[in-house]
Amino acid sequence: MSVPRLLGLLALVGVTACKETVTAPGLCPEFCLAGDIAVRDTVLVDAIVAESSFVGYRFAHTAATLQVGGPQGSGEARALVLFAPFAATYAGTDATVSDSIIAIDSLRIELAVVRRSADSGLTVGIYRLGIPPDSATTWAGVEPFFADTALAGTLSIPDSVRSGSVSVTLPPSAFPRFEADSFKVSIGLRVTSAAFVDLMSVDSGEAAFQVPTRIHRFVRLDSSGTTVTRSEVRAANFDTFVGDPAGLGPSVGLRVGGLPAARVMLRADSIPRSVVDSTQVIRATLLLVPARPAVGAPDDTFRLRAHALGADFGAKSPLLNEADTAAAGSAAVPVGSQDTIQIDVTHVLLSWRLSSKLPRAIMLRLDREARATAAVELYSSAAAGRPVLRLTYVPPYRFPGR
Amino acid sequence: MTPSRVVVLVLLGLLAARGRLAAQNSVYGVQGVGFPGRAVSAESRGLGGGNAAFDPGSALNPATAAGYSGVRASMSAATAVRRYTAYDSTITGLVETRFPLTMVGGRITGTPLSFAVSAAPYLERSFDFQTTGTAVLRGDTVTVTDRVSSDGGMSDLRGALAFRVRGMIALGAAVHVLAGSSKLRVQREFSSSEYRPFSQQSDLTFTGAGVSIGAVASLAPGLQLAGALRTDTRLRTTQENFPTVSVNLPVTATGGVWLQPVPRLLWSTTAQWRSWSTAQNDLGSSVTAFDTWDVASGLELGRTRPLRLGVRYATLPFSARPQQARDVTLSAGTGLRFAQRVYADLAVEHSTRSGAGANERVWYFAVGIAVVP
Repeated sequence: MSVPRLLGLLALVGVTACKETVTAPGLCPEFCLAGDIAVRDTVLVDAIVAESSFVGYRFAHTAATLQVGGPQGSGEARALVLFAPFAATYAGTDATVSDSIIAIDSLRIELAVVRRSADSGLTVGIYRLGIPPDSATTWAGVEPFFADTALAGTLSIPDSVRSGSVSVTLPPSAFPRFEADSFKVSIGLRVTSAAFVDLMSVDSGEAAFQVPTRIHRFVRLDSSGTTVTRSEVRAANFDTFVGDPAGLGPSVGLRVGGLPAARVMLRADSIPRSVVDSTQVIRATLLLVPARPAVGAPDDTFRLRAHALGADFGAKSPLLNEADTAAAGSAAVPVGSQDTIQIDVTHVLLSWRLSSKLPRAIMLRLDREARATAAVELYSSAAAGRPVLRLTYVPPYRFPGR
Repeated sequence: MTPSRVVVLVLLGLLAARGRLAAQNSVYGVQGVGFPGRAVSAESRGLGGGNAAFDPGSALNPATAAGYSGVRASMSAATAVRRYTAYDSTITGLVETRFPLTMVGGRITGTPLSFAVSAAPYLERSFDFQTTGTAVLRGDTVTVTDRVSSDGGMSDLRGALAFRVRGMIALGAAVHVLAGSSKLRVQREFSSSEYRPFSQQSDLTFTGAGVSIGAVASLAPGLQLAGALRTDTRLRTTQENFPTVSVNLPVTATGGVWLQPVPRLLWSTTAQWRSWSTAQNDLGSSVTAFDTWDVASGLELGRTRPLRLGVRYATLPFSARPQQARDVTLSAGTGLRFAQRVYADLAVEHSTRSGAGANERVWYFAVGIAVVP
């Protein structure tokens, strides 16, 4: 063996020399590493230096659900539905019958319940709307049509139904202007008890509910000299819901939620960079004190989310990982509560640490924007109850020496 | 089976052991800057390290490089099996395989000089342990599980030159470069899911340098004395996001006596003192640094296939208590020679380390191969 080859072999052996380790229980302090993993906790009362409130992210008529809430809460809501018109003749698929309608037997209103309050005896009143609703329809504009004289019928939702389809069959007399209105039906839905129900809207993308809000017409037809009954169905052409503005009242703080949906951006530029960049934040909590009890339908609870931003474009700031619910901390807020809201924003601070280019700002929004009248109002950074950030972090471990 | 095949099989066995055994360095290496390594050959380990001050295959005394008559390359491989007891816990099955010493030396043609280049362990920083405790976070008591592991150490890369004066005295000097790294992982997990786990991984880089001088004197036939002195700079440790820190390294003084009263009997003793206490100011109050003594003595019986026996007493430099730990080692070994060009040395040691709150027992198996091309 030549000397160079021998040296090469020795070098190779030296490089590949290694070992494996097994974890042994540490016996402190004698046989633990000098120095401790220090955990520090601090409350940054001046972390939020500015804020902005933006309105108009989503409107009720584009929401995935329609809320019908009772008047006992601070956010009474009524749903408005315009169904697609029927034809003057039978337009069904049965070719063995005559298309001339002998008589209308009944009309069935079918609703798709997505969510409801926990109480029993939930009843929805179905009212005849004298006008077709549209996106500009207001509470005041439809208020006259919710008089007792306009009540077409009621639909009792069994206590066993937490979600799914419910229906009620009404006589033709429930809609006396059905023929005069060119076979169009528009209804208003109202709950008079301290309860709420969320219904699937035409804008819902929730595939779990295959039966949307719709209306069935049962008609009598001639079939070779025999009178038979056939049905036709029409889906909703348009739906929306309106909230009682008196329940929300004048704004006293920074509103998140409501109709149309509002968001609040909190700017946290004063958080020490030494904390965000050089330590590991193991828990960060945003503490929010509502300026007044949370508003919404009675017995409702909504979820407030805190997002990091991809960029600061004011109201149009893109939310970072918006679709990833794990990337945004959230807190459940019961309607009527004024307790301090605690939202975990650890992921937000982690994203700031990973990218220094991200704006040090947090966007607050409701989890289900414009699906309900629910809203919470917060104090500004100048008020005594301003948002506060509580951080628990671990400074990096330092090897002993000086 | 020929002896050469036996040696090859032993080496292969050590290499294969890497894949299925687990390893940790001494429990006494957790504190301070680590556990001091030994720059001694497998031959010397069989003697407890008694001849280390005279052994060209060891890297304690640069003057021993004058002992090379031609080019010689050597390396050693070793496996340590440890168990230790601390408090009421006994931890067993800790195994480590290393290639602790590699050396190439020889005469420089046309000059009276000899050289030796070696790589030896200076400090070991390999451990992995887990602790469980509680912490009060935001007013709540949370169970925390900490895991701290370090993988790496510092090597002592030495370049030595030596020459003989009238054949009676060998003088040598060496330059040492200390280099190494350690992957430090610190993790903490919380019993509450509200807290994210803390995890930090740091690459520590160690640098330093040193110089040493030494002499070996043949006072009479069968009698030699040796002495060496070494001083090192501060050990600089670089950790990302932190200023570089440094720790004082010790002055090392080595002395030895070598006696061969009859041709088939050798007795040698090497003593070493290191001023590790000078690191105290750099390590803080949680660690106590002590000066250390390392005294080893060995007997070698026979020449062709000698029997080596040794005993060693050493004190350890770092402790979390104001009590210094000590190490008592008994050793045995032998040597084989193949085809006039290959030398193999086998050694086994049993060490008992105690003090400073623990008791550690180590079986250490070493094999050294030297080749004369």
